[in-house]
Amino acid sequence: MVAPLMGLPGLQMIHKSVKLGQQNSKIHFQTIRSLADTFKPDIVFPMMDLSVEANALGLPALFPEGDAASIRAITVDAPFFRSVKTIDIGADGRARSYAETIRLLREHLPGSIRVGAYISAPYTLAAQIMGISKAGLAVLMSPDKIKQLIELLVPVIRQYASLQIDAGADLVCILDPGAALLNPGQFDEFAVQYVASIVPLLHRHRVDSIYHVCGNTMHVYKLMASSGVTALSLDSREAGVNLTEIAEKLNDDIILMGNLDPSGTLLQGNEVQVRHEVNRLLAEMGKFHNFILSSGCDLPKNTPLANIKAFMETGRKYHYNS
Amino acid sequence: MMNEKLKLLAICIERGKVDSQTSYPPDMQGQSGASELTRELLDEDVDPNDILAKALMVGMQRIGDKFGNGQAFIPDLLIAAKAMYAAMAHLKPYFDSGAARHKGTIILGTVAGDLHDIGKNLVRMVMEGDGWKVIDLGTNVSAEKFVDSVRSNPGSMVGLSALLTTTMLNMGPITQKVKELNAETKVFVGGAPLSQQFCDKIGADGYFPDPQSLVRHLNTKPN
Repeated sequence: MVAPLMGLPGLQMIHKSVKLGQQNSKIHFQTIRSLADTFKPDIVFPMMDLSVEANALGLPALFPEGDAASIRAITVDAPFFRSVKTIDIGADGRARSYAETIRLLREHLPGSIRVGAYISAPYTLAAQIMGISKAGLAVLMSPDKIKQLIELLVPVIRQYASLQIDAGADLVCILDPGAALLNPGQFDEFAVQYVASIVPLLHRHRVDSIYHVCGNTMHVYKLMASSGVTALSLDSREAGVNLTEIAEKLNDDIILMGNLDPSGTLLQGNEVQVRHEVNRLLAEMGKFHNFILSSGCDLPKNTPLANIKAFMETGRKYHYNS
Repeated sequence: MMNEKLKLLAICIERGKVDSQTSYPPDMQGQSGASELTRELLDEDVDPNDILAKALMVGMQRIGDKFGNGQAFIPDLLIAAKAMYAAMAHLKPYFDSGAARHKGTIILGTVAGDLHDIGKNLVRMVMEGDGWKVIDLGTNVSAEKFVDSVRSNPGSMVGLSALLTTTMLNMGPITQKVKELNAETKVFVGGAPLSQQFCDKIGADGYFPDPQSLVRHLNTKPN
């Protein structure tokens, strides 16, 4: 299978801004459909957006024209805790817009293309809300306080996942970039156990689960696998990830997705470099039957479409020959 | 006695013991922290330069090395920096009066369009802990702001940070404008999507994947 994490580059084909794409389900659908029609990946993903859940919980979001929305952190206090308990994320306009995008994709794309959805992992959502530095300090200085917040957020994330599953998502990718900063003990305590509490909900709906952590995950990949997910999505060799070593050390009942460098190769490289890197990766990983060719992380908006074509073609050629 | 206290202060920095009120680390609960020890050392007329060089820099260097070889993680750096800042608050008047000296000055900022600050903040912490003066321009910083700051702080270096692949492209024009003002001004770049290749392409003087490698470079090849 070939399934890069890509959503934003589709905006090049329909000539719309990120801001519009992330706020309008029809434009969002057109963006992803353009990518699906042109490149025919085995899985499509929406535009990666870590702001949806936090924004739905009342945090201010910024919507720059050319970049993904981002969240302004707040001070987490008693009124915030009270408000989270009363907010119905299922009624939020942006959350519903993402679910509607999923619905349109499932309705219009062939069944051979699986439709993915994204949710934020609990620790990462807490870090979005508190600010990433404050969350990092909290795991040392006030662990009970941040756990209280994380536990408050788990039902919210489950609800957002259910909304997208009900809309037709075939799989859900759990995004946990904030947790890459933690040591293995902290990762286990503050990140993975809460991800593991969400995974059974997905599987109960016969939806596959992917756990994506950006950056170097060599210190935590075994813990990631212990969450019970179907697949791990791992960052590039340039970020420090040795995918071959991981494939050799983990059981082959977990799928491994990765891990071409989204920035150095796919954004800044040329077609020749992309083909070379895909061939290198496949030469290393092609022997593992549990491997899916993907990008190490989300593809930036301006990733040259010719590079994506080269990625898909090279991957497909190998796939068909193997 | 003084040397013992300096050693203890270095341990407080390394392990993130901010003051006697903080409960972290659990095995140092109730003990004096970086804040109290620095105050005591100053009251004993210890040279602030010695406090910086023999305790703060030592502690930050140790935690930086541990971070570099995977024995420490971002929360450890953050808490060490918190302890370091608690100590620095007592030293600030001596730096302001000229009684204590920095190694040099770096102007830091996350480039225009980018609101992410953790990478830039980590560089700031490690550099301040190593005795450098840091002028932090914050996030979403335009080329004009960097140029104005270089003009106001002759002899300073510039550090540009970006997390986004879209905003890292703004590093090129910023570097160019800084160099137009003074070609001798060193411009260093860092951030998750960057590479040495990108650094070379935009004409910057160095790419560093982590704060420690920047500090090591500056200490071996002073500006």
